[in-house]
Amino acid sequence: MTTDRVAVAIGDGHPLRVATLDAQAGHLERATRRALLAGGAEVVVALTTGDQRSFGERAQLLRDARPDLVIVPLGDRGGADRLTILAEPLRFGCAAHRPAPRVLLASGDDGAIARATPLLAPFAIDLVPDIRGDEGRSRVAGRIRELRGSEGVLRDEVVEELALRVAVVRGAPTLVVDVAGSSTSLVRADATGALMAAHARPLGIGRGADHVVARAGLDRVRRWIPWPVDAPTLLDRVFGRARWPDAVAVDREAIALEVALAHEAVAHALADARVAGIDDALREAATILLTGRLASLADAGSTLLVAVDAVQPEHPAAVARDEEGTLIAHAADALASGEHAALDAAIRERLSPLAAVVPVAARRSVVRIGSGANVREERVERDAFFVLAAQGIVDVSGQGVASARVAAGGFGVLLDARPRPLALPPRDAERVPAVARWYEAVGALRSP
Amino acid sequence: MTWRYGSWTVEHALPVGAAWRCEEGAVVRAGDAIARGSFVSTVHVVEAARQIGVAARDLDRVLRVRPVVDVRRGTVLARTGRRFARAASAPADGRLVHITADGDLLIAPIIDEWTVRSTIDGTVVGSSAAAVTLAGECWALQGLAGYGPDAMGELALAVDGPAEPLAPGRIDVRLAGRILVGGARIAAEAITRAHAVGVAGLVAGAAPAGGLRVVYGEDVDARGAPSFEDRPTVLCLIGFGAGPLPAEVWEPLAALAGARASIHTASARLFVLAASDATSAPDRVPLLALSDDHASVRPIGEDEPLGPNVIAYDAAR
Repeated sequence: MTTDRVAVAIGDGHPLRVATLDAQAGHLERATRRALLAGGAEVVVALTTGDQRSFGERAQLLRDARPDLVIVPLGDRGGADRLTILAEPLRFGCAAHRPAPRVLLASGDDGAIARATPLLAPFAIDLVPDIRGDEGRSRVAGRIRELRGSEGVLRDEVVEELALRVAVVRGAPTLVVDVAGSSTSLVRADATGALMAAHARPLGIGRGADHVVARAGLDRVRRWIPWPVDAPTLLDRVFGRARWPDAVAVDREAIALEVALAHEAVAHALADARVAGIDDALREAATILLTGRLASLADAGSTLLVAVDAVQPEHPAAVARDEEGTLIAHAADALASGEHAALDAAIRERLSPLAAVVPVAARRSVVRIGSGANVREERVERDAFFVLAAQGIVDVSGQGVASARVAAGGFGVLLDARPRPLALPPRDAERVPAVARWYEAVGALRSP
Repeated sequence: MTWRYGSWTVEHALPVGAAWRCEEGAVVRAGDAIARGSFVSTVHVVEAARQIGVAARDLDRVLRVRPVVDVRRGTVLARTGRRFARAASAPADGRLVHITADGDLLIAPIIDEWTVRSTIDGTVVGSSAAAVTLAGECWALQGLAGYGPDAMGELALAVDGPAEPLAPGRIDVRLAGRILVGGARIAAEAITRAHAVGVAGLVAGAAPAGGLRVVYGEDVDARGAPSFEDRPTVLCLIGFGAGPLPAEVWEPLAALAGARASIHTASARLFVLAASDATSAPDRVPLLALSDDHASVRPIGEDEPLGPNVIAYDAAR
């Protein structure tokens, strides 16, 4: 039996404002985005040579953004030559800042380094290898985390530790989706120890609520609420939420706002991962474990719904949640001590799925669920979204269904035949009934 | 903190393109100019080092003018040689604002000038191209979020009580140049009307987030939006939506009405430049509660039971 103990403080670290100067945007963009997501950077400005703003506007943008760290990825000397039009606004806008931003120059080309170094004076420059290589990416991510620092351990690292141990203990690829107050993390690990991470900051359902709205737009957040809500009132709630530390949702409206924000926070973290070229790989997991405030939503149905709607798994997967934060606490402990036994035991004992999610890609299908002689056939039409009672490990197969063996949890098996990507009707009169039906199917928002 | 009389340090960030700023040690009054410059947009590039045949690192030796200085078309910017002189001259009227690492000189046309003014009476303790920092003594009230440019003016009550929203009908030209205290809420209509009649700034418990978006744009967030543009100035003291002010905040506000005041939007502070005995600081930090639906904030009475989402006025938010 494991004990619930929280020995190590988990923090988000110091807010680190990062700017990127992409002189070779198309060439290096994916690798840069991947490193930034791995490091959990908050990107305040991303300038490219294609930017239409004038010299003065770029300089003002950088001055207003007050970056702590500027990342400059360069592939070759040609890129370094083009860097001039980005480096000069940085010098003009930020050279007088105290403290001045540090520059992380990521390049393996000596000619590029020699050309870029004087362009980036007078800033302190750290040199790391080409960002397209594993070492370069890892060094950039590591430097970002180092500068963020934290008393105790960084939440990002804790989530990664948890994903890794779940994958090892269960012997299958695992995706951990962690939505906290001002961060949203997607971490996929497999049993071999391979890890892929996207830590989107400051997207979250607390302090980051207004950033989610700024990024997604109010209407995209509003569309997930299963009743009509007027936009100004919703925006007041979002702003209130963003400036209230650790606000607890006790009212149905506030809980619905959390669910809606979580939908968009995860969706936009995945969109960032898409830019980095890792979204498909992230979503390929047999187990989806939800942690953080997303896992603490008032009812399990809401958590399940966010996982299904936002992650949109393409293969059958078991969805679980770390309801009381026990696994995260054990992972923090393991990370600090280097000892995994208690974490592994907690995973074995406490990680029980909420439901098996079975996506159905065909217009019409007969899905077979069960094993041995106990096989049940279920007719599924396009747009269907419902739960079937089932227990234990079940085999699923059928037209438009990837054959798999998944663990059904307390909910059973959730059959999801909604078209991908999930599209919601724009008009309230059509959207509200559709969304309400999905909430109803998983019992979400039934009790505050 | 709520109200406190004491020593304050205020950093005034500057836009790019500062041409003049106060030196350290200068004594200023609220409203005095502490920096001036011009907004920089597109620039003329003079490849000075290349034109006169020197290395970029040697350009400084042959420069005839240095940033930041106004130049006329044809002004010699750099020159080398005697008998066979080579020179780089300005292609247009403007202001030499920057020298690049490659030895190019950037000249910005002077289209629109800006002035940054002090928000307190005090002494300049820091001065750089990025910011001018002042230190001085005054009354100050920490707010939650400030929007728009800094504002200076006489503090005036525009409502009869702390729970009353500011009605647009109460705003007219007689209030031009004042900083109005607006009770529980200032809607977009009141903000735009106040700006139209020349009111310097608005302070209230809350403003509707939708109204702030109407006035300041779609990308405005809950952390404020300091700017240098000609826009209304709004200081939200406790939240968004609606927020009746606690007595501990309202009573000193009422007592200080008529005094010189300023809103520093970057730090979300209201400064009142009155004597230390003009009012007294509250002896209790009020508690605030977020409504269950998160759409408004209200003060909690001393004897009222505490529900969820209650924090002190001065909690880190």
